[in-house]
Amino acid sequence: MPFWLPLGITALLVLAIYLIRPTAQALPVASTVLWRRLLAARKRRRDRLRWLLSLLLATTVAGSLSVAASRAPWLQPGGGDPIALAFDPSPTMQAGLPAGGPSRIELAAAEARRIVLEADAGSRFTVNADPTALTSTEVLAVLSDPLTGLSNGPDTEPAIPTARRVHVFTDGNGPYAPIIDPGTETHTVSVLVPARNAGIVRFATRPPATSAAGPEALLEIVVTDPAGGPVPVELTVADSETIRIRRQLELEPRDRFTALIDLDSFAPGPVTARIATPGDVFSLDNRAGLIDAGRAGPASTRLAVRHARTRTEPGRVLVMARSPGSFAGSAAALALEADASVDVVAVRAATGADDPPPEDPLPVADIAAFHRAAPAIPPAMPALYLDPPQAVAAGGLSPAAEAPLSQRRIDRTDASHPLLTGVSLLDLPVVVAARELDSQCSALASAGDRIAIAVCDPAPGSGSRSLTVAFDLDHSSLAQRPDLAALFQNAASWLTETPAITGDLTADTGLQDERATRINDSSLEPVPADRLAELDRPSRRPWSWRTLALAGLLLASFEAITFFRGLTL
Amino acid sequence: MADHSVFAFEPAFLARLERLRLLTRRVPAGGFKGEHRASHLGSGLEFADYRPYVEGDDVRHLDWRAYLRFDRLLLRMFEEHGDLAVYILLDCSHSMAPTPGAFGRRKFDAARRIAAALTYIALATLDRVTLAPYSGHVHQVLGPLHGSRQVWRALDYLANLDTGGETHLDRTVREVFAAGRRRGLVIVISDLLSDTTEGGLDLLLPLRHDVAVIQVTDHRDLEAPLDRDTTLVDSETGDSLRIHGAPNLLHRLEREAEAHREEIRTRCTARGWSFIHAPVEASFEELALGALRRGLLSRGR
Repeated sequence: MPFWLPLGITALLVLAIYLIRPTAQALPVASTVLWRRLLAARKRRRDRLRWLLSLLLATTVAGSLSVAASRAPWLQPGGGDPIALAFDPSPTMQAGLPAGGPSRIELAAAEARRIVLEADAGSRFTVNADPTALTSTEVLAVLSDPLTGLSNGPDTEPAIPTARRVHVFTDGNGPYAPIIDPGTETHTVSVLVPARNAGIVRFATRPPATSAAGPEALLEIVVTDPAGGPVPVELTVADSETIRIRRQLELEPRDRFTALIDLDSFAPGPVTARIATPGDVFSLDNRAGLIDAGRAGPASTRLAVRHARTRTEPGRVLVMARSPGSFAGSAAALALEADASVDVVAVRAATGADDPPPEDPLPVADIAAFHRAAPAIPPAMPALYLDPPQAVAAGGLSPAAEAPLSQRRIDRTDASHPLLTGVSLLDLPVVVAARELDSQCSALASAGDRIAIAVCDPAPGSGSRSLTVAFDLDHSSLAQRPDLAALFQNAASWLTETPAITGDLTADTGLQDERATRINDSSLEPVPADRLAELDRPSRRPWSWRTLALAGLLLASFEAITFFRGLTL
Repeated sequence: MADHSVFAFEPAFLARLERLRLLTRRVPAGGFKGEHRASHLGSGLEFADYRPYVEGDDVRHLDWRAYLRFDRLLLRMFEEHGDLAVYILLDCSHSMAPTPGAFGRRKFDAARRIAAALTYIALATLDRVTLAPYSGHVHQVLGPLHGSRQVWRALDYLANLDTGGETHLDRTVREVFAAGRRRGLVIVISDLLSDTTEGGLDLLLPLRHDVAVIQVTDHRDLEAPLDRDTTLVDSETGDSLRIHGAPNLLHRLEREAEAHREEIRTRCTARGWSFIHAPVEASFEELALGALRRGLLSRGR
């Protein structure tokens, strides 16, 4: 039914009510002075009545606002459980649609708006892991700016609040698996729109093949295009002074382009690689950079290249724990016991810089591990700190970090670092705290904007190396995997070795996530073309017959009152 | 056409009228001989008081007997009697007779009877009477009349009056007293159903007259079939007023009329004026009794 039809019927009804009113009889009177005085007095009474009604209306409005602001549960029809909207926060959601359309996250917001408008009146909604129940108006305001309203929580594994229905908006790229109460009705809304993309998946230094060779950088480019056919890619590699390399490539979809770049010809400082592709929808992976710390400036000293030696005997681990009793049975203890390559020589209570030194001499060890089984101040982070043994003798271990916790997945690693040789950490779920690195440390693995593993490698003579596993081992599967033993082995070697050139090449911007580039890799069905065509069409909730009937009843009541009681103003 | 039937006074009624006279509290008597005491003492017949003799007093008024008894020169004072200027402003607007027929003229006939009775009383006591019928403006003013022989002239004049036009008491007061008439007793006889009533009464205040307001009312003015929406048409102005029929409306109208009357009564009382409510159903005896209570009339000579 068109909108104007019920409106016209209502207008005709109102007109008819006015027309059927009986005509007034004319009555001559001596004077209308008294009548006018009487009507003036009645008008004063009406004004007082109007004032009282206004007060009542204002009180009602204020009460309604208060109740709405407090989100009273009894206002929610149908039991009060909200409808949850969960948005995939992975970087590929920022990819645009073909032909310059909106991004996938904007497409997800449009789909969410449709769901909100079609929901029952009075429904409440939650967005991502935020348990705050929003009204339809509030959630529409959040959805109106999806780039800021929905991208603030990059949790890869959020716990969705209890809801009667969950809508998951994802492009299926990457393992996005929100934690949802079992049995909850869940709908996955695909926002996958295949499109052309070329991205740099690796740009990192690697050890030279021979001692005579200089440092090299490994560059890898991956291309995807649903249309098939060769994809033109322009590659430029520049140092701080000028563009050193410019190449035009023709890459087939799914091809992996690999190039080794001799860094000897580059000026000291950062090296940046860029690619440009016509019709590219994802710009985040079009640039990568690295910093060759060994060639960072004219005063820097090139260190001799030495390969890490292979250990033949178990690494000796001295465990310093906030509570030695708590270490027994912990995930770290079980992992160390199961690892034949390491040997826990002693577990001692940790002492601070102001505490008296322990009476018993510390045993000889290769690694000093500081285990924080319980946080001192919630929400401090349980963590495992690995230091050289001399750090213990010096009276201090790595400081305990205390910061808000967040559940994430590790999505970037520096696979070229020797500490991660044989260690696979991608997609490892961790509970990680926000930390700040000092200038001597860098991220070895990160989860979103959080640093999961930090490595500190100060200049020779200014301190010792250290490694911080900055997430909760007891709530991670790392302790049950062989990766932890490998990490310990690598740490034992790296902490005791003289710094090698591999450690000098800190690739802080070279951390690449290959998944982010494969924007078309998804098991979900792509969004149909007709759905995309309706994206720009504004949706409008039609007037219900119930609303129209209520409005008509109110109008008729008002007319009846004015007609029979003479309250027409 | 003269309508003398209105003034068909009985001889007994006229006799009762002759025993009444108009009272005024603050208006001095005039120079003609009358039956009103002057506010000053002079050479009348009624002894009033003594006062010490001062040089220049008329030695004929010295009381020699008092001189013999008290050994002081005392002057005898006598009350001086004069006439009273009476101005009767009679409302002849259309609201006094809104509908033709015998019932429609009840207010106007009652007002004329009151005016005739007061004129009779005033002329019988040798007061000077000025009749000023008015509506939108002052009609032809009759008077001042003096002497009881002028009674029939006044009655004939009143009998020939007719109603019409709007009420403008303010304009009337300006026209009647523009020539600087003597201070006296102004009697306004009207239904007071006009927005100009209060303004007209206010104009009388600086003239320092004694004022008596007689409101003539007819309960038929407060009756109307209001069972449905009604458009009231003002008989004077022709203005229409839409009224939505509602129960108790006439009851509220009666209360409003009473409130209106009380407002004017309060205003008159505050100024020391007399206010008399004269329903058309009331007899002249009842009206005179009310006037006696309010100090407009007194018994005896």
